[in-house]
Amino acid sequence: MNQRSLIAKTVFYLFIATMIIAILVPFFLFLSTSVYSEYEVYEFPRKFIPRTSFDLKIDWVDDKYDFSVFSREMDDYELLIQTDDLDKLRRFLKRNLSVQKTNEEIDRDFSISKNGEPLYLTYKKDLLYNYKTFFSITNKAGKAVVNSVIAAGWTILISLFFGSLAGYAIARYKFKGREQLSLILLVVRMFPAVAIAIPMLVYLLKMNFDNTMIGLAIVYSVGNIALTAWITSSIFSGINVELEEASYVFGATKLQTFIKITLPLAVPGLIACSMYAFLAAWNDSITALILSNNNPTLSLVIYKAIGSSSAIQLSAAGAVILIMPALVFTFIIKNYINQLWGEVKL
Amino acid sequence: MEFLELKNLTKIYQKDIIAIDNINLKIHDGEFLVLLGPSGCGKTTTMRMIAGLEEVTKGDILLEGKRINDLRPKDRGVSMIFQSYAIWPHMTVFENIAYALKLRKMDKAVIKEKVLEVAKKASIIDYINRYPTQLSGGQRQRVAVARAMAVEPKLFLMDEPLSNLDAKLRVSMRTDLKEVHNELGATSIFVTHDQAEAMSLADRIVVMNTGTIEQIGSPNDIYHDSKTMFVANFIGSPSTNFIDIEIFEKDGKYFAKNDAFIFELDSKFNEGISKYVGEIVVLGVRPENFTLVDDEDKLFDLDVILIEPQGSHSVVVGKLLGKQIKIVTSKVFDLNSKGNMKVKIGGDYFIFDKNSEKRIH
Repeated sequence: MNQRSLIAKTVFYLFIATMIIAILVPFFLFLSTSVYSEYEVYEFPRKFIPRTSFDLKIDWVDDKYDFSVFSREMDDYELLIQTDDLDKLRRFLKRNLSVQKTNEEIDRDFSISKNGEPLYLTYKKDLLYNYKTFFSITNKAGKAVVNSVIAAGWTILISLFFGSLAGYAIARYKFKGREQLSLILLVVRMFPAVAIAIPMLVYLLKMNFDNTMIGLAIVYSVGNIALTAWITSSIFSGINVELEEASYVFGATKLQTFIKITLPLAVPGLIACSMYAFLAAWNDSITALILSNNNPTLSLVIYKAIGSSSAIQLSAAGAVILIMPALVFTFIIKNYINQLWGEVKL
Repeated sequence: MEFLELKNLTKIYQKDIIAIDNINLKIHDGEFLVLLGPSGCGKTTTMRMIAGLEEVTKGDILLEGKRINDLRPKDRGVSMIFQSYAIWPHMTVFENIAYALKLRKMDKAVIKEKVLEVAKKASIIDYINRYPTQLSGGQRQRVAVARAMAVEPKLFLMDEPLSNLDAKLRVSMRTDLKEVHNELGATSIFVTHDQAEAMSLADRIVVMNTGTIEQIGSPNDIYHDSKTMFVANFIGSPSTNFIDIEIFEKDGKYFAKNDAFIFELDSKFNEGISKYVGEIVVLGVRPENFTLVDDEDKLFDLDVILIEPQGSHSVVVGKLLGKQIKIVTSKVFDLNSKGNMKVKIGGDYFIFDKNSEKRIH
């Protein structure tokens, strides 16, 4: 290998590595924060790898438990609380260390220290504590997940149905104003959804669609139909017209041809295209705030949680909950993404 | 009643682009007709209008006496092989062939039998469950043929079906297609720009140019009795040599002359040529109708610039009065032979009107 290509290769891999780090580091930070306990959040410097358990030291002093935790920062045990109240200890363990124990367990374990010797023990952290808390303290979180799925589903259906019909027309038929239409579609896309949210709310109120997911999906679809039409028109143009013509000659009507020939060939591209509709619906919180405040979606719930709570580990847990379905969805359709550029193999 | 008749057929695109200009054509039952012409001559448009894939601007298409202008493609009873084969990539070979039969709501067992039968004929029975992506170009071509055969059409349309194949395969598929035609006895219309393909397949050839028909005839007619300069030029490879000559008359005999030679015209031209005396016309000589000779009866000296060996024969390329002349001869030359060769017209020749480009008889 000559020197030049070695340098080129090195630069290339450095670039790729930088990209990967830039994407993965924030994601990992979220993930690790979401399993932090309250105690870890206020540790300084913050540890990148979250703890899975705590080393505790219990002293029986003055008829009270001196409850200490091993601090990685001080390399020694840090006294956190002095009490003989089991309820208080249980709540402290839960809230500050994400350790879930019953009064009986605490009593059984801790009372050994009453013989005068300091007691050392390790308690396992409940890694999913923040997630559980997120659902139990955040109002309507469970309902919000369902809402988000419904809104995304409707958005995909509406924008794919109308968008692909428009895309097919642009790709296959020559009509007056065809160029202008595709330009107008792009302009529609450029309106921020927030800008049209208020007039949309008026319409939705008139149709009794306010605070419903279908109403929200209609608003999301406005911009997405245009984008879908653009993308699908390139998918349909990529399908050789002769494939359709052959179908006509061999006895099919236009509708039969569309259903049996064109659509199956376009499906991979259409699936990839649905990713845009999904993401638009899934990620939006502003439009939902205006249009569906009383029946929020997941991203709206998280948006509010982040805005109002100081517990960043809870917000992080919410963010991860929001990311996961999007990740899963993207992974499912990743094989189809190449088809977005109108590449239909023969 | 003709099997298929095109009457004053015209196709105009975007109000002023004339693709097909008022053509009339009768196609007999069971014949193999080839539409031949350079790209843009309207041959494919004509075929697509017959198939119903293109709207007719003016004129009529009559199939067995019935006007089919407004019938949908599916109701015309035609079958087509496309240039790109148009095999549906999401269906197996079996499904491709069965598609048309299923749409006809035929019985499943009957469909299966029929598909296997045509697949056997097209020798693709071994690939019946494969997808088109797993097939070679030649195999896809056979699938297209099998699919077209399965519907037992009255009329077979083939739109440059061999142009995507490599040279050797093209020649062998050519023979296969002719066999299919003979076996089915269906009428076939075949579009191509390859004159050799047209010559070897056709019962009759329709030579088209810029939306009109130049000449209709058997391959031999078209070659030996070309009616226009375009046909003489388009048919045959290498194509006909054209040389400007001036006509003069002496003692009731007609002579052709130019700066390089002078000769007496065959007496069969006497009648037609008489009104061209003193005018420039075009002499057309097929490359094999020039003969290389010894000194005494030469017509002119050819300044040879290149020899193209073809195995069975050689093509001698030379210059006469600044224009290229090609001669086909059975003699074998050394590649580097250059210099002068002596040439005479050893066979038939055409004479064309320089303006109308029509044959003078």
